[in-house]
Amino acid sequence: MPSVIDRLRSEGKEALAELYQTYRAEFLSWIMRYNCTTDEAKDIYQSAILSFYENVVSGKLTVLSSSAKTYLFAIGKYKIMELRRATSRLSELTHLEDDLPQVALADEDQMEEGQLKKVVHCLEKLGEPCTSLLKAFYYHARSMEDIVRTLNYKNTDSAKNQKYKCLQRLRKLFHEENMSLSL
Amino acid sequence: MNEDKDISLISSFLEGSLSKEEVSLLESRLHNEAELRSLLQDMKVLRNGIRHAEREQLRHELKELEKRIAAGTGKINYITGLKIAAAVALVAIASWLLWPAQQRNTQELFAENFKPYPNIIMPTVRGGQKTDSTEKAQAFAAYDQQDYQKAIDLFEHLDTKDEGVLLYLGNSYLAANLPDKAIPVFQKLRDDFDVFDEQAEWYLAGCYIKLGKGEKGSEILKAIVDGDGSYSAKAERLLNTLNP
Repeated sequence: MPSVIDRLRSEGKEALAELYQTYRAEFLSWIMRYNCTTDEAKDIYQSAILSFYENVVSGKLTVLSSSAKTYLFAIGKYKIMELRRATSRLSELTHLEDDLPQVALADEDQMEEGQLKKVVHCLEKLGEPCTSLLKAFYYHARSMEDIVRTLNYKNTDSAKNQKYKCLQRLRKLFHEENMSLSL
Repeated sequence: MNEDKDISLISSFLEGSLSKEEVSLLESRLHNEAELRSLLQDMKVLRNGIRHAEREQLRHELKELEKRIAAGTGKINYITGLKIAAAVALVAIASWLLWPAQQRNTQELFAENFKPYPNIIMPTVRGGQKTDSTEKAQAFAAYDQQDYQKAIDLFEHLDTKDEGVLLYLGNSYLAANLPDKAIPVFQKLRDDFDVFDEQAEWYLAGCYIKLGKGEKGSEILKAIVDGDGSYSAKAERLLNTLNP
């Protein structure tokens, strides 16, 4: 039977949904011990599943020294730690609110989030086949050979050319979006 | 500037697939060409944006799946689910059957049960391309490479020793055969923080077993069993082996 890592790499979303269902009940009942709400617990589980998947496809995780369950639960713990840290930082900020340049901080955060949202919007405008190609390459880290097979390209050269054309069009849309917002 | 070629060049640069010579040529062009710098900046934003879009799409799909499961209409692939469950059960049964009845010596028990905790904080990128050269990243890279003495030196040097650092500093001491130094680290992890309490207790038990203080180790293992957490079944099996 192929390992969880092999299946996530070869089957992508289908294997991801199965992984989600396999450990869901156990993870949720376990993470609730850390005094989080049901919604927080589900958010943490979803984030843990995505982190696990991203670590696998990006090549950061190639071999599991323990089981997938242990790894997922460990990520869950780290997410709880982040959540608590964010909450305590927020309460510290509340205590110090008169001393902090809050507007400047908020603007910077919005700019980063705003840029990402603009790209999401441009991708919607870009449409297919570019969106699937770019997501397969940049998020799912699929090889060009894999992309040729699954998205029906003639060969790797034509898939690569298509990728560069898609990036060029996406960049153009991104600039147009920036221009229209600055007018 | 030929945009077609430069998009391909920058794309290869961001993927880490350029040779040293090509990188050095590109860096010199980046120094002189504002337009190329702007392209690099755009490509970074676009790449992050594409990843963000797909991550959010997958998150949305998981939320939809979650709603269906909670409503009792989740499309669970039972055959695959059963295959996975069967494989998990098989491994569990095999481990149980292979567990010998006679008491093992403590060093064997230690090696079997207290493998260094997996690095979940900063896993090393495959291919060895460094993306983060901070001291913390170097410490985790040394930990991944099982160079525990180097990891100890780097972890100890960090200004902020949060729970993530203490867990791996303690594990590095233990793996480097320095259990007496690991004990106060795991005690601090357990007493001053609360995220890795179970891990801290488990590895504390490991420290005492490593030191040949089985009685103290058993005492901690009993508390882990009573706590009914994720290590309790493992702790119970170990206790039965230590005290048959």
